[in-house]
Amino acid sequence: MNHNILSQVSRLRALLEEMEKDLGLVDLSRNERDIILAFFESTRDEPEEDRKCTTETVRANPIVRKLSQPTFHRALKQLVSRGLIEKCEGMPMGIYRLTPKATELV
Amino acid sequence: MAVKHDLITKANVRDFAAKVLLHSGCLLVAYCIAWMVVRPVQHYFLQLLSTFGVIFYMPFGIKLVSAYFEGWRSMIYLAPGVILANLLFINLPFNQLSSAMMLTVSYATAPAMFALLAYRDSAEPRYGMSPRDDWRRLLIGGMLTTFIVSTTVNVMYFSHLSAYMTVVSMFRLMVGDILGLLATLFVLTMSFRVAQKVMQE
Repeated sequence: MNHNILSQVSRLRALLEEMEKDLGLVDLSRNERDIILAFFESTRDEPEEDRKCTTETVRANPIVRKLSQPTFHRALKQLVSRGLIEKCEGMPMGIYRLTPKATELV
Repeated sequence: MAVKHDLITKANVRDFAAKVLLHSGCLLVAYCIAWMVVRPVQHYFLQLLSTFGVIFYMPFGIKLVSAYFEGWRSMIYLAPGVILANLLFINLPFNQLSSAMMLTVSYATAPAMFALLAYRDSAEPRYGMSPRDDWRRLLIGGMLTTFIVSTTVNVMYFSHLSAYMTVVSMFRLMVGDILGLLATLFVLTMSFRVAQKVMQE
């Protein structure tokens, strides 16, 4: 595919994302916000550019301890689809990393 | 050297063809939605509205996004789509000067508005300083464009109307255009979200 079209598609996507953000259409739900905060809390000793930890560690955090497992994983899935958290490839299952987008958001 | 020149030419032709396909294809789809979906539904539920004017006129949205990224070249990339859409839906006679003028105003105004906005801001041609400025510039350009185009349509085709009906007609066209632009941006947003989900799976 042509790179020029690709750069324009990328620019269009950025434009639409900014519009959504400015219009308040990408607010996180309460559970999603709590999980992000718990992630930050659980990874505060990790390097800024590589904040990863296991879901078990995050779930043990007092902020999200009361969430049931299905609710936690549903919200986690939403955060992954929003691009705020990503699975760590090549590592054991259950390890996730905060993306730069999550850092900007907070 | 001859081989290198040949490669560059083929790439340019491919580039051109891809853009024509993308811009004209999107325009044609927008016309199909406007004429085959929105208009009949509007007719059925809102019979009091005049049949002239579509409440979510998505071709305007496509025209605007195309002009925002390609400037004057958008007129070339959209031309096949415009011709096909006219043959299928609008039926403006191509051999009349008024039709040529109408189409020119309709598709040249948006690039002109964005060029004016870029000149005023002394920013990069067509693009804002950042994505944050981009969407605002797109909407401002859209509002200016629809005002000029709807004024021109009314002057050219409805000069026999009273002042009140002229204003009503202009307002209807502008509302349809802006709602069409918002609908286009909504559809594009949803398309990117679906694509992101599919890629993640």
